[in-house]
Amino acid sequence: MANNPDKLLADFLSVKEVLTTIAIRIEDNLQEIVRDLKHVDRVQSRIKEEGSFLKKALKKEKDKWKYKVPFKEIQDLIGARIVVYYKNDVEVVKEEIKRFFNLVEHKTFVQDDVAKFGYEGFHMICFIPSPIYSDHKANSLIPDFFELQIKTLYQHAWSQANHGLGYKPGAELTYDEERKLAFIAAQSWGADSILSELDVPNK
Amino acid sequence: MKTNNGFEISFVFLAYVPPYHDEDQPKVLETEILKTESKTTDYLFKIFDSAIDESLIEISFTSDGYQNNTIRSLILSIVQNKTSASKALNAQKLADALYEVTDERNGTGLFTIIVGKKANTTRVVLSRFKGDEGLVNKGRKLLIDYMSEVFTKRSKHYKLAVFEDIVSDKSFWKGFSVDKQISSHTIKSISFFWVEKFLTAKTALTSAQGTMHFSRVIRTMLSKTTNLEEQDEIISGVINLRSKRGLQISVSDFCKTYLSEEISNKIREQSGNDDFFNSVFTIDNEVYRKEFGKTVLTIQDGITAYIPTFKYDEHVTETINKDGSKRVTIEGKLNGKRMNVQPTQKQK
Repeated sequence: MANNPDKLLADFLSVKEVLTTIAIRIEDNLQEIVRDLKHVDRVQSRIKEEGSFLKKALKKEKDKWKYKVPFKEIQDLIGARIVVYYKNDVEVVKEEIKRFFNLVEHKTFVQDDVAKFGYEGFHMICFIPSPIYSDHKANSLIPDFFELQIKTLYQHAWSQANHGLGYKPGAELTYDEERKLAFIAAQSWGADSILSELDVPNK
Repeated sequence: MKTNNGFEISFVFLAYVPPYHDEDQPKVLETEILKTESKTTDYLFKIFDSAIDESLIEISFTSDGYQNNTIRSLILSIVQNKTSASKALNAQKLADALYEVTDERNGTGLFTIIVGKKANTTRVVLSRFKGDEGLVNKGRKLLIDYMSEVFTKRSKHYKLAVFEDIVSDKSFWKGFSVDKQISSHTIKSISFFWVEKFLTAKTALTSAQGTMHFSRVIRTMLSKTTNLEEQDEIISGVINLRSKRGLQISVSDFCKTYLSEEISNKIREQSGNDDFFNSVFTIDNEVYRKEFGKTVLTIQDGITAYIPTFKYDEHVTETINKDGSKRVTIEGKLNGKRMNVQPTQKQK
């Protein structure tokens, strides 16, 4: 069955307000969870912009739709991020989050090649708890999950700046552009590593 | 086949599942696929139709961290496969999985799987009816005998799990469960055997999340009510619950056990939705202490006051003295005053 862009957009717009409400509730919930933890810089949430959603929903792989049921299969429709000062804090926040959310996926993004620098961070796909979503449980367009990222300040800065430049993973960049982005990523990685060595243990 | 609620039924599977015995391996379970309507399907479809309303405990499958869970995958395969034979193959695997975790204490059981579709969603209902132990030795026509035994008794003792979703590779992660052996007036754990061992699922609300939301509901209720008797009743409940370590509970259970119907109704309203009101979670002692703990104030002349942390801002005012030290004022209606006299040596 073909993914119809007009239908997808109409469906997205019909739930945009609800998604925003759920994202805010998740953010409030996360704020409450990390309120007593040290070194948490910020908690933020967002819903995918319609353009970005459509682009993803209409993605194809080998001439077939990558997402056959986009509202079910795109699991970062609602996203949240917790930004911490130091690399050592990521583990502390991660463990605390696991106490509060059931999750289906967790993944640490690191570069496989030791000589390469780029996107890094920790992602989780968490169930949205029933007190947060159940007013809308009858609506099949409301996702079951949200994506939570835990990043250091430098990882956050790099990904925000990178996002601001409009580059998406897999985009074709010139050699020079790629080198520059890798250079910034390397600087961020270096700053994080040195700060972790200087950091007083998070106790 | 169609149910009264308009579900188009595509698959009805029954399996006789005795307790697991090592020496029986490999065991071929007796199974049957029902393709025509009968008294049995009438009874099963009624359960199918009311499954979501009856199952109050929200559950979610556990994951290996890469979005995999074997039982969920089998359920998804039954739903996604078009032929009855391929559905039956995966249904058989589910029955085998149930058999492997069934012990003598669980006894023999009739395991059923029903799949139905309505509009764009598909519902899968798994249930297990407990039967008499005597049925084990009744011979080859076991399943038919067993079914009539179970259904003539109109067994109120069954375990059920219902999953309803749009069919997709990423769906069917969440569902609802009920254990009809649970009395609605007492606090009991949901069936570990059915939910955790067989389904490899757990309550959708984690202990910490459930306890946090519970405390939010209770604290909001306390701040809204000006009736001192109501406040006392709720606080007594909170204090009583504090001593029940690791207890599985829902807001609904808490209300039934500790509060009057009037306050319970107010709390039900406060909790926002029935899903959370009925959601089962285990009390997380750390969160509970944090949310309902006491703040200990020590002031001059050896005076100590214990104040529930969630009531601190309401009753205590802190001001800064000229010398930079703090001054506290505790304000509230006096409900009791007691002199604590240490027993003398003679009295001992």
